[in-house]
Amino acid sequence: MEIEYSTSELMACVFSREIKDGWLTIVGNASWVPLASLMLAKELYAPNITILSLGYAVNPIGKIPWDMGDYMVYKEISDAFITFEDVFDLEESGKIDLFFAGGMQIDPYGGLNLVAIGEWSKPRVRGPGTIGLGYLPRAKNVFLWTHSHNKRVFVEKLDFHSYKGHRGLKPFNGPQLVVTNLCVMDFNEEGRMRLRSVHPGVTIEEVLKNTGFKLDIPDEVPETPPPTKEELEILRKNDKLGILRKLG
Amino acid sequence: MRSKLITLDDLFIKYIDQGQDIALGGALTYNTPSAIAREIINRDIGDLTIYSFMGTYPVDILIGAGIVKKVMAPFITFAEMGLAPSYRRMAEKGSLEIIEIDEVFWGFGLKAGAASLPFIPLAYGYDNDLPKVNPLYKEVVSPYDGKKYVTIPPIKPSISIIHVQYADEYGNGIHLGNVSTDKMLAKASNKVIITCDKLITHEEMRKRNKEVTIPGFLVDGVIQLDYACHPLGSDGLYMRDDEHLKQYVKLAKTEEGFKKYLEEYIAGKSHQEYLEKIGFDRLNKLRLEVA
Repeated sequence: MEIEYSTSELMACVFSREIKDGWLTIVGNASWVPLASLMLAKELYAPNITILSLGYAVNPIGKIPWDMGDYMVYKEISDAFITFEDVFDLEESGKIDLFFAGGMQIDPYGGLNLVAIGEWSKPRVRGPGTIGLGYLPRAKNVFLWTHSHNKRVFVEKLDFHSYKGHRGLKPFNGPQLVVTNLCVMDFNEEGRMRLRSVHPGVTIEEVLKNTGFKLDIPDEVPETPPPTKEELEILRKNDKLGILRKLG
Repeated sequence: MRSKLITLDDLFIKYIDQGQDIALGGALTYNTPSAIAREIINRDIGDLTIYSFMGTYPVDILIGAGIVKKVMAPFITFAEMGLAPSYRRMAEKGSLEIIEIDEVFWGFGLKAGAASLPFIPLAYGYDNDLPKVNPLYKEVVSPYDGKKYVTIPPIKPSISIIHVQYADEYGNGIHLGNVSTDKMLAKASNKVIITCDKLITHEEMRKRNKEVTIPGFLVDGVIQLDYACHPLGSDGLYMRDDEHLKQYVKLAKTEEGFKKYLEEYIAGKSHQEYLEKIGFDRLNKLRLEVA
C-alpha cells in the first residue's frame, strides 16, 4: 500500500539517514525539517548524537515547536540547557559535527547569502543578516536545505557571501548534502553541486528548469527513497503539531 | 545595602541620552523589554547606536521611528513571521548605517568586551564578504606561530538593557528560560539596567540563589514593569502575542503603515496606557502559569 507523506517529511527522512552516530549537531531558527530529522535519527539510526536546538536546548525529543525559540516547549523535552557563550565556544572551536543551514541565495558551491539581494549598500531585498553562518567553515559537515528550489534561490553568483561553501576556507568537509523540495544533491570533485536523486514525481528536467546554474547530472539519477512506515511513525510522533505536513 | 530600584524617568535622567549606544538583551521574540524601546521613541531621543543579538520588534520599531543611526546585530528578523519590515525599508533606502556582523563577531566581540581584551584572534579565519563591508575585521600576525589571524574587536556598549523574569532590589536577576547572551552583555557593558516582571524580596532571592543568572553586582538599576516585553514573550511568564506581531509586520511594510502603528500604539502613551490599549483581557490570556 502507498504511504502518504509530505515533501517536508521526505526531506527529514533523507537527512536522518545521513546522520552519523555520535555527531554533535546544531540547528537554528525556523529549522523544522532539520530538527525533525535529528529527532528521527536519534531514535532510529544514530542514538548517540547530540542535538542542540536553537543552539541552547540540548537533546529535545518528542515535540517540534512551531516557534523554535519557545522555551516552554524545550523545558519539558530537553536534557539540559547551555548558554550562547557555550554555543559560540563549541562552534568556533570546531567541535560541531553537523550544522544545518539555508540561504536566500545558494550557489553551486554551497555558498549562502542571508544578507542582501542586490548591492549591499542599497539592496533590493535586505535579508536578516549572516546569523550563525560565520561558524559554518568550522563545522565538520554542513547540510543545506530549502523549501524553495527555484532560480531566484539557486544562482550561479551570490550577491553577498555569508558563506563561501567549497570555494571558501575549508578546514573540514564543508557542504556535503543539499535537500530541497525537488531533489537531493551532493558535491562533485570540483565542489560543485551534483544531482543525487529526484523526489518521487519530480523529473530531472524540472530540477534543471528551477536551478539557475549548471548542475552536474550523473548518468544514473535514482528516485529519492520515500519514507518508510517506521520513519513516518517516528516523525509524526515528534511532529505533534503536524508542521511538516502543513509545510508541504 | 543600597537599593537599585529606579523608575523609567530615572533611566532617562541618568542613563540614556541623545546619541547613546544601547545594547538590548534577549533572544528572538523573547525577553527584550519592548516597553523601553517605546519609551525611547516617545522621549524623542535620536542618533542612537543599537546593539542586539537577535533583533525583532523592539529593534525594528526604533529603526522605523527613524531614531537609529547605526545598528549592529547578527540578524534582525521576525523569523517565521517574516523579515523585519522597518529594517528592510530603511536598509533598502540606504538610510541606515549597518555594522554588518554575524554571531562570530557578536560572540567573540562580547567575550573580548567582557574581559576588556584589545581583540580576539580567530583560529579559522574569515573569508565571507563581511570584512569587505565592515572594516572592524582586521588581521594580526601571531607572535607565537607567525601565522596571520583575523581579529574581532571588543564590543563594549555604554549601556545594556536586559530583561529577567525575577529580580530583587539589589539587581540580582533570574532568567526562567533562555539566558541568551545577556550575561556576556552585562559583563561587557559599562552600565547595566535590568527590567523585571516580578520583584521578589532579597530573602526569597537568597533562597533561589542557584537560579540567579545576572548577579546584582553587575547591575546599576532595576525597573519593574508588567508585560515589559509585550508583544514579545517573557520566558515562563507570558507568551509572545503572535497576533499583534503579525499585525505589526504587515503594517510596518510601508512607511504609512508604520506611522499608523506608531500613532495607535506608541505615540504619547505611557507603558500603562499601552497595556490598556492592548487590553488586560488579552494580556491575561498570554499568561503562563509557571512558578
